[in-house]
Amino acid sequence: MQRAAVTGTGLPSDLVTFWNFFGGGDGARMTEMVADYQATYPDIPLRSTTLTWGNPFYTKLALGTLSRQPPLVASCHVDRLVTPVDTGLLRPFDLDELAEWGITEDKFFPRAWEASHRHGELWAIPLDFHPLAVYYNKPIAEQAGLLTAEGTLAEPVGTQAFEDMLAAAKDVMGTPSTGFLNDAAGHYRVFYSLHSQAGGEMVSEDGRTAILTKEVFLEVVSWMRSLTHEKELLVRTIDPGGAIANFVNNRFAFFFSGGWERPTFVDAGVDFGIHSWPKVYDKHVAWDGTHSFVIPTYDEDPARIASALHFISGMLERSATWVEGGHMTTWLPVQDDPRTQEIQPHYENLPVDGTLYDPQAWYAGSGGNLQTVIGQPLAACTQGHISVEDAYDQALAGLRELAATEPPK
Amino acid sequence: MTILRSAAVQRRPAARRTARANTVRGLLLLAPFLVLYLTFVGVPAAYGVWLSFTDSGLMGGGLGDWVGWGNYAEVLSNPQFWGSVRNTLWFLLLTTPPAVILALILAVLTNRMRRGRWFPRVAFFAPYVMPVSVLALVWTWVYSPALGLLTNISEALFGSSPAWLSDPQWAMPSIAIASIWGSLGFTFVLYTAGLQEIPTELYDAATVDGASGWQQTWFVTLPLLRRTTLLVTMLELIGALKVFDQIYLLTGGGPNFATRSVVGFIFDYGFTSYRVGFASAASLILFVFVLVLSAAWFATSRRLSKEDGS
Repeated sequence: MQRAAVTGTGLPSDLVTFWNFFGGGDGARMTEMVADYQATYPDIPLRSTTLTWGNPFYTKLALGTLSRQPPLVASCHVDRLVTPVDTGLLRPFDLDELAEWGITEDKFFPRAWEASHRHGELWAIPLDFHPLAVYYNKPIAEQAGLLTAEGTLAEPVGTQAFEDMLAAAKDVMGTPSTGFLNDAAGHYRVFYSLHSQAGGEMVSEDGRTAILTKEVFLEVVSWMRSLTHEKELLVRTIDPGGAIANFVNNRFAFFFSGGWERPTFVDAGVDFGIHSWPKVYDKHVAWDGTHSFVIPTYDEDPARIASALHFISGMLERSATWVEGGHMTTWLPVQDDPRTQEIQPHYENLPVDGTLYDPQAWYAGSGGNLQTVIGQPLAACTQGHISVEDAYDQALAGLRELAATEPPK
Repeated sequence: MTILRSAAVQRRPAARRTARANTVRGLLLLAPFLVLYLTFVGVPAAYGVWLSFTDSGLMGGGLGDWVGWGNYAEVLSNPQFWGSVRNTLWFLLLTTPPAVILALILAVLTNRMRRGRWFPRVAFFAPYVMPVSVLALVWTWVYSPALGLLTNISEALFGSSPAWLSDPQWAMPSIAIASIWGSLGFTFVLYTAGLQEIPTELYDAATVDGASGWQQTWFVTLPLLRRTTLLVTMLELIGALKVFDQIYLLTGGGPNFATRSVVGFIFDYGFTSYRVGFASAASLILFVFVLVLSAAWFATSRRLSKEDGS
């Protein structure tokens, strides 16, 4: 847009193809943003395609790029950048080129901007971040005396405070107030947050050596297991769909996930708040993820790149809509806008010591292997099917196999 | 003699020509199928065999380096692979015998109804018409902890309910029940067709001989359904060995890999770890498994039916 103004050239006319994986509640928001962009620029031929989330998406993106039929722009989790970057599937962004479109580092949430880099280059334009959070049902929390004077959740600091919070809600309801989501990702996010809070490490920096700090693992997982067993503060098992339904029906006081379930609960008319995952151990950090835009490798045609950057900046400008989907936008001009702040309920706070992205390894990231090899034994453990020690051995064995495997090529 | 021989000699090339023309015509008629088959089955399968001897990945173009039998050795020494083999055989045991027996019982009973046969026929066949994705959605809710239909029924009856899909002990039986429910209709239809082929005279003769209804089923119906049984068992067997879709949708291979089938293993390594060469080797090992098991089953049942026939 700025470029058009500066150079006096016409708007790019190439077909803008956009592949994304937003099929859930946020999918509707993305469709809205794309439709609004299209309405603003009716002359730009635009085709947006939503594909299945997770591995099928990345496989398709890789095959599309290899067969020289990539989309112009694609969505990507920044924790999944390692493989496409290292295999040459993506085009790095040039900072000067971005500056022409008004896309500069100072306008981004720093942590997300940093996470979009690899080998010193910028590979993705971050759109949002969505750290692990505790959704809480306001009426129940109020009855249990868990709210501050401002009506937000009183931060439970430490394991005891967290247990007290769950116990207070249980007293009000008579039944456990929530549970860890029994899929691998649900367990993984909570574990990764707690393990890192307590100073544990999973893999070496290059991702080629498994560490998984044993004492920390045993401490954290024993505690998680005590919540579902001895202390009976959490239900032993609940699938994500069931947990959502229970939260919607006021049968659960809490729900542990990233912000993206916000639209579901807003639409259902639940009175709730979103509090970042609290400081249970020493450091206040929490699992985080970022959706971003990438440009797959293809002919280096300036008109194409201009179309792509025009589209990406158009999406960033419209990211207030995205905030309604429960994400925090990384684009500070929108994030700091008072109108964005009015979108409530939304994240009340952020982890004080920062957010955590997955390690930079080919097997890490959303829907990747790391979540599976750690999350599966953990879920089996909190449900009482295997011991904490066995869960450790299994997770470490899985992690070792991944770390020892050559990165994909 | 000479004349005859020369005539024969003269006729032979003509016959050969006709035969050749027939072959060409036949091939031409087959060509559309052959071209498609080779393009979409033959060539990819051969490519898969080739891939299995390389360390090809999914992220780069072309083939990787030749690694000989390396992938095969790695698959066969991978405990995860053997875990998935165990899971697949467990699924086979849980689905094949019950599905065949249940379909047979239902078909025989329905066949004996005097009125309204269409209703059970439609009812049993209906689930088969549904796509697997719908089946998975329905059963996810039936098994859902805290809210699910079966969970609530079980809680009302026994005071507690197993965590159907998230308990490693229960997950496979739960998937098996959903699978049987979904595939029963097809087996049922095959049995119904088989039943209708049995001449009524045989039952009349059996009645005259004083055979009871039970004896008629045992000595007339079952032996005459042997070929159908052989067919449906083979189909169920092969279906069970290559099970993937309902498991992927219901549990994704969890909890704790308790339901990851061999195809699930291949999918995970091929599409999550992008190790196409390795996954191709695992596919070919599965192929040999299926071949050996089916051949063994086929040989055994054929021998059995021959012995019975004599």
